[in-house]
Amino acid sequence: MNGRRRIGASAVLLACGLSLPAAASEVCARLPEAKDVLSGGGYELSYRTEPEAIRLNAPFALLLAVCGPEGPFAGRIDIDADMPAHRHGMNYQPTFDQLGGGRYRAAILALHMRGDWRFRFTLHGADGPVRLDAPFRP
Amino acid sequence: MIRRLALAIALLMPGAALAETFSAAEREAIREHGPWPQAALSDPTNRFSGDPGAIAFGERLFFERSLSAEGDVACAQCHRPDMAFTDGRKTARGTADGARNTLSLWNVGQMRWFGWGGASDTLWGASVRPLALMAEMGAPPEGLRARLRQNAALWHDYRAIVGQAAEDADGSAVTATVGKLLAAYQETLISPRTAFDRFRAALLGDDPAGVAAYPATAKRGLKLFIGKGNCNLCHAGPLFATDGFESVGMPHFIGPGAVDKGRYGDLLTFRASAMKASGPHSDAPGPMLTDQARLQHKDFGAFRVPSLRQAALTAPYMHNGALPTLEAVIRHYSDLDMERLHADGAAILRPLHLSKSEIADLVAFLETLSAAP
Repeated sequence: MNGRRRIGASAVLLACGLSLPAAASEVCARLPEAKDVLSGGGYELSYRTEPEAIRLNAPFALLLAVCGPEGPFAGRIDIDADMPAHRHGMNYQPTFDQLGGGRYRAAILALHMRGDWRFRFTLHGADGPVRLDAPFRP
Repeated sequence: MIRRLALAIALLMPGAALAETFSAAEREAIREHGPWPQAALSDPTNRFSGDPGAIAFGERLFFERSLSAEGDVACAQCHRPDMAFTDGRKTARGTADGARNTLSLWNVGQMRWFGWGGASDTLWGASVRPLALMAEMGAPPEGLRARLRQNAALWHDYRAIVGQAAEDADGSAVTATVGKLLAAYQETLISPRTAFDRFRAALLGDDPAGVAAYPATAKRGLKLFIGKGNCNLCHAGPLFATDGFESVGMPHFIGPGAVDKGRYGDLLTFRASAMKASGPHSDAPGPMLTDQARLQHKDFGAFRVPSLRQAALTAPYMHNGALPTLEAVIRHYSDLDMERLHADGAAILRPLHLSKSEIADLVAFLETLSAAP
């Protein structure tokens, strides 16, 4: 019955497809109490999970803060999670809310197996996609 | 005194002592398989969930043959309470022969997906599927309402629980309500504590006598289950199951030119169904996790990872009932034919190459996950 949880009535922004760098003067802050901070391609991505402790098979969300060279990132982000050693990903498609200021919230993630997972974030910026991976063990 | 004696015996028997010893990692893995029973879950999509009157009426419906098209098949015919809510057959037989093994109903209220392929995300939706399927009870919605009304006593009691809505409802709504009443009963089917649960509690509670009471062969099997066998990757948590569907090298041809598509086909069935958590008959409609389920090529021929609780009582095994014993299931994984696995499927399975004694130990462990109610 734990699958019968509601998800937020969020707009799915995966398809927006454009990189819209914010004004250079805009302050871009790393996420407080981030679980991990990833860097690459001129971007810094910090994230944490909600709730902090993830239970197997239970839905959770990811809160992201993404800073680019010119300030808060405002473009499209793809997110997935997989188990490289087992060659499989998640059984559910996450949905996204863009919160502004480089913040994003990805909901409806659920990890159905114990072991080593990897979050895969693809940032679609003006210079092409940049992938940042974060190893994760629930 | 008993604890000291058990400890002394363990120290005097090196082989046995080895089986008594569990590393910190093993203890943590064992911890994840409990406690049991889990707290009962209420289904917000079913307004009758947890209602004592509905539970009692749902149990009555479970044994009621008059709901089927010909008045000759009840839920309890395939889900026999005296057979751990299965039927002992390779594949189910309702009004005709089915293609899949009858899943036990023990702990069914703890699931997210129902059936071998997850064609339903609600227990009430899953409960009405057999009613409508011609091969099972062959009772389309329009006929179900009429048959309920024909049975004066049944209709009277149904009305007492459902209220005025019973008079106004169309066939589809009546079907959903019947499913919800059946589900309210099935949610109460929680399997008893087992020898494994007592062992787990003793191990985590530093009770040497309780640990010693668990058979050495089961302890060795448990070590294989969470170690070399990696069985707990899929058979995880208190239910010894996951939310997943896997292709484990079982054939899915069901006849000349006919294939059971497993999860792939059933997810499409689910998407088209009105009897789901986010659908029009739900008592808490809205977007659900299950609506976000991905349709993946690897789902073709994949079937649910069943719970191992009460598994010793539910032979034969696998989605098609092809394996007659627990030993046969373990031998299947021991001698796994990698050619039968999906090329793009999960790279989890490898032949375990178990010895005869290891197979016996794993069977002994699995048997401790079952108990008579």
